[in-house]
Order: sequence, then C-alpha cells, then structure tokens
Amino acid sequence: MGETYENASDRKSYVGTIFNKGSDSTKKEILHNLPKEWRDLHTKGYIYIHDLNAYGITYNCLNFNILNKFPFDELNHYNDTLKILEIFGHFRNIIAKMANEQSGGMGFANIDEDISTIFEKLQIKHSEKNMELLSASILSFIRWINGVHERCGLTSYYVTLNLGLSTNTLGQKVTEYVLKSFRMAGPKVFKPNIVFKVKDGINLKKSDPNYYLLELALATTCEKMIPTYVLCDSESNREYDPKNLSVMGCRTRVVQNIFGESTGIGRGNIANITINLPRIALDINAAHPSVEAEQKVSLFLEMWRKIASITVNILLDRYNKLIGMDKSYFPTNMAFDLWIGGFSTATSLEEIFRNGTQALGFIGLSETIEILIGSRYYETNFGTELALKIVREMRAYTDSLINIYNLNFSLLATAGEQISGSLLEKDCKYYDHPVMEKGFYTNSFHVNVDSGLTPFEKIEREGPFHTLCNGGCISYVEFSSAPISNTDALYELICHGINCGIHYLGFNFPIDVCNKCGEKGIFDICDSCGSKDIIRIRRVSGYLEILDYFTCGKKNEVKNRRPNN
Amino acid sequence: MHIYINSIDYNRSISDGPGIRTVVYLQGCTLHCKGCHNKSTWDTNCGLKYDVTELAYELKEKSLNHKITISGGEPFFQKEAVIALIKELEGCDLCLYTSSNYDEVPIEILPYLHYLKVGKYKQELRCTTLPYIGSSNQKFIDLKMEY
Repeated sequence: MGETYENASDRKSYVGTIFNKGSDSTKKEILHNLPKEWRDLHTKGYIYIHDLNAYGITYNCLNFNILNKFPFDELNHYNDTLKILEIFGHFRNIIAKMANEQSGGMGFANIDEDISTIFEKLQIKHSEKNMELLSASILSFIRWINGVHERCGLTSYYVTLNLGLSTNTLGQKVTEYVLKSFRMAGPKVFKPNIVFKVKDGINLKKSDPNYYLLELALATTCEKMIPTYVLCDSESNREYDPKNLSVMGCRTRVVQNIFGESTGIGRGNIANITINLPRIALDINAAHPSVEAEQKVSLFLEMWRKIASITVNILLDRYNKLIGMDKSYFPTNMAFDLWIGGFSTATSLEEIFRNGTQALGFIGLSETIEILIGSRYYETNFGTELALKIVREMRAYTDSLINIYNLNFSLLATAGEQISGSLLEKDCKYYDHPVMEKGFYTNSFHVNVDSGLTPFEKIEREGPFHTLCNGGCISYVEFSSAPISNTDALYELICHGINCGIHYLGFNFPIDVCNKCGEKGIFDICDSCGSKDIIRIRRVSGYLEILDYFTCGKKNEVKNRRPNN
Repeated sequence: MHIYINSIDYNRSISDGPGIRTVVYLQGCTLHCKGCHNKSTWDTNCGLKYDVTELAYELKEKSLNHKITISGGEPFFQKEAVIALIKELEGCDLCLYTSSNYDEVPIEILPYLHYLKVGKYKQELRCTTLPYIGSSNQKFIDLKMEY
C-alpha cells in the first residue's frame, strides 16, 4: 500500500474526511495567529506542537476518576444482569463522549479494583452466572475498543487499562478475565493497551497473592506483545503508592502534583511540545564544526534552553487559553467529575486544569549525540555521559519551571509516531548528514533500533533515562520472533528492568496473521494454508497496528529494527 | 581435553529453552538434515579449538544468568568432550539440544541437565507454534520436572 497516514490507527470515512479538512484549516488558523517567533519554530521543525488543532480549546489526556461520580443510584434498582451490562455501557459511553472533549489518550488506572468497588457498592452477587456475564462483558468491551474507528470518524479510541494490583477476589477475577479475553480474542484483536503493574509483595514473587496473574500476563505478552509492564519498584516509582501510578495512552506518566496528592488518577497532560534535538545538534555542528565534543554539548544545551524557553511560553499561552474556555465545552467531565478537583463545583477551569501537567518532550537523543561526537551514545562511556548530561539538564530545567510558574511541568520521552519521519524530512531541507539516511529519528532516548545489543544491555543502557523522564517513557526489548511460552525470559527482563531503573517495559516482536485461516507466525506465505493474504501486526509507538497503515517514518523504522536476541 | 565450537551467542536467545539463554554451538554434524538452520556447523574439520575447562570458565564468566544451552551441530559428534563440558558446567541451568532420542542420551549426564531437546529435525514436520522445538516429532523435556 503506497498511501501514507498521519497516524497508524487512522482509517477513511466521510466524517473523517470532513474532520480532517476542519482540522487542517484549524491548524493553519491557529498557527497563523501565533506570534511569528513561535510559529517559525514549529514550521521550520525545531519543535512540534502536538495536537495543534486542540490549541487552547481542550487538554490532551486523562486517567479517569471513574468512581467519583459513577451513576450508582441510577443502576441500583436494576437486577444484577442489567447492572453488569450497564457498568460496561457506562464505560463505553464515557470513552465515546470523552473522545469528543479531549484530544488524546484515556486511562483506567486500576480497572480491576474499580470494577470490584462498583460490584460491591451495587451489591452484585459473585454468583457463577454473574461471573460468566462479567467475563463476557469484558471480552465484548475489549472487542469494541479494538473494532471501532468512530473517533472523529476515522480513528480508534486510545484506551489504556492498567491492572494487576487488586488482591480481592473480584479484582483478581477482573484482571484474569481481561488477560484471558484479550488472549482468546485472537491475533486481530490488538487493542486496548493493557498495562500490568508489577509490585513486590503483590505479584512479583512466587509467594505473592497475584503472582499467578503476573504469570498469566507474561503468557499473554508472549503471544500478543500486550500487556506491557509498569515496574512499581523501580527507582522512579518506588516512592509512590502503586495504585496512583498509571499509564495513559502509550506512555504518558503523571504523578507529582504541586496542588495535591501525588497521583495519576483524575489527572492528565494539558499539552506537550516536542523539541527536535537532532536539529539543534545539526545547527551547532554547522556553526562550530571544529570545537571539542564537550563544548559542542554545552553549545547545544545553550541553544536548547533558548528554544525551550520559547516552547514554555507556547505551553503557557495554551494553558491560559484553555482555562479561559467555558465549562460548557466539557459536558461529560461536568457530569461525571472525571478530573480531580470537582469539575461540576469548580468556580473556574483553572481550579481543575492546574492539576494537569505541561510536558516538554524530545526526540532523537541518539542521533543528536552521533551528530555532536561522531558515534552513538551507548557505544562509549563518554557518549553515555554526554547523553545523560543532556537529559539531566532538560529535567532540571522542567523542574525549575514548576517553581517559576506555579504549574506542573514534566519531561516526556515523546512517543513521536508521526514526527519520527516528518521532523527529519524538515531537517533534510537544510542539512545532509549520515544519521538521516535511514529515514526516521530514533525515539526519545532509545538506543538505535539496529543496535544489536542484548536484551540485558538494552535495559542497562536505557534504564538511567527512565529516572529522569518523569513525564513518561518506555523501553522495548525487540525479539526476532514471538517468545513462545518463554515467560521465564520476560520475567528475567522485568527483574533486570527493576534493578536498572526501568519505569515501563514492553516487548516487541513481529506477528504475521493469515487473513484466510488465522494462522500466526512470521511469513509471507501462510505456513498453514498457503495464502498470501497476510496482515502484519507491529508495535507503532506504544500501540499495535497493521503495518500497511504505518506512517512513513515508522515504516522506515520497522525496516531498520534489529532484534536484541 | 579439547572441543571444537562454531560460535557462542551470549545472553540473547529466547528460543533455545526457557529464559534468556547463552547458546554454544558445537562444530560438526554428519546428519545433514534437510532445512537445517545452521549449516555452517556441519563441517567436521573446522571450528574454534577450545580447552573444555577454559570454555566452561568463559561461559560461566560471560553468561549473566548462567542459563546455557549446548547446541550444534550435533553435540554428540564430540561425545567425550561434550560430556566433559557438561560436567564442568555443573551448577549452571543447562540445556542440551541433540538429534538423538531420549534413550540414546548417556545417563551419566542427565543429572547435570535441566532441559533436554531430543529428536532429529524433520522439515516436513516443521512447526513454529510449539516452544523450543523445530519440528513436531522433537521433544523438549524438563528433566527437573520428571525427577
């Protein structure tokens, strides 16, 4: 398929076409109205303002505070069957409505515990029949999230279910049903994103009450790449109550809050802007070709700070415009108080959205170091130190913004699906450098996808960056084929990840599915029936999609991916 | 005693037994199975010459988790040497890949092994959905479970 897509989850439709037209002209209008200095940074490719069509109109993403105003009273007089059906009806309803009210991902921070609490409050019996219905409802919910492309008429709802910590009987059942349903649903069901939270004392050790659920999760990952794993005992996470940790969309992490308890629940990112690190490096390299590597890094950081300070002004402008909106633009938030701070009773949107976070993101750390010092950062201690220095400086900068502006700021290792190719394309207009030949920039702080490092080494190299990127990040271990039944391997890497400071870990491998008979494997012609009608499922940047729909940059990245085994 | 190896792949295999494993490919095989994935190991007149004790030392040093799979080639092409190597690797989580059948494997090495893959590779029975084996006639045995 020669077509290109803005996001891999996009499909075509009449409504989608109209949305895209509106979105394009809105983006143009918003850009046009920005001060020239800001606009230039974006159009020339120094920064990328994500979700530009939502600028000042809405926020990005949210972990639903789903229990806050759950319609218990409305459901209370129904029988158990109807109650269970309506719980999931409510979830669907919220997802569909919220997709109209915000621009990005949606998270359920503890879907196991939350459903268990809802069952308790609605006094639903744990009968065999009810458990059967709960299991079926979960499968149906998963199939719905996977199958709909209703959002804006062209794309799927970006939902992440976090689970694994609930140790009460029903919570455990929910986790079990989610994992089993997802596994059973076959290879063509590859959404939602499911995140298993690993915590010592709850599910990490054999003697832990939910260890069997971790085993089930690992077996599911061995087949489907999902779930991914939040490591609650790693350096950046261990100080927090694991129930308050959660992933939204594909990697966003929101925890610290200067206005209240450290939690991700009922909170999200207001907006994020990615700074194109390789572009700054290319500029520095061109202007100072003969200076020493360390001095180049200093010059790089100086220029980064300049760009970051303008970027912060854009984030602040966006935030100020957002809090100036009328509450009536957020009817679902009003009805169900999904943000902390009580949407319905708040006297201003500022009371709500100040709990959100402004994220400063980055892309292409590996290319940046290669441009500045001539080799990849993970190949030498010197390079590693410089890479860490850059990210430490960026983090110190975002931390300093919190006090200056009295708002939440974080450093995000941007997912960067579309920009992996589009920012490079912009840079190609001005520069020609060997790092650009592969057609994409490497994600955030990741080592190059063709590094050839072993899984252990990859985790060791990327771990220190997890502690710094408090706005979210992920490391992937890339396997050449599905680790069939090898849960031991995944378990070892999870333990290694915890020791190396990994906050969030995922496993990638190619999955080819025969569209005729459903056989799975890695093939151009089906091993089982000989058909050439093959669907290739790959990880995009956080979520899974069919390869044909990938963006240009990501298609190039997939071609370059070399397994760590 | 000496042993001839083809190559060692440290700390990255997920398909030669449970866990992330180091695989040592021994040199030499006379079976020449159709569809063999490792033809470079066939030649019985080449390979890297190692002292068994030194090889065992290096494997223990460099494999992070001491999960080691001995593969080939056909390990029993160098029967005496591979038995010595297995004994030298005592204490490691050991797995042996052989084309022999279970009853052909020397009993004396079984206590040292955690896993054993037996059976000749048959291309017509090629299978990609069962763990750790290449064709459905082969068996992957967890010896610790059986004992």
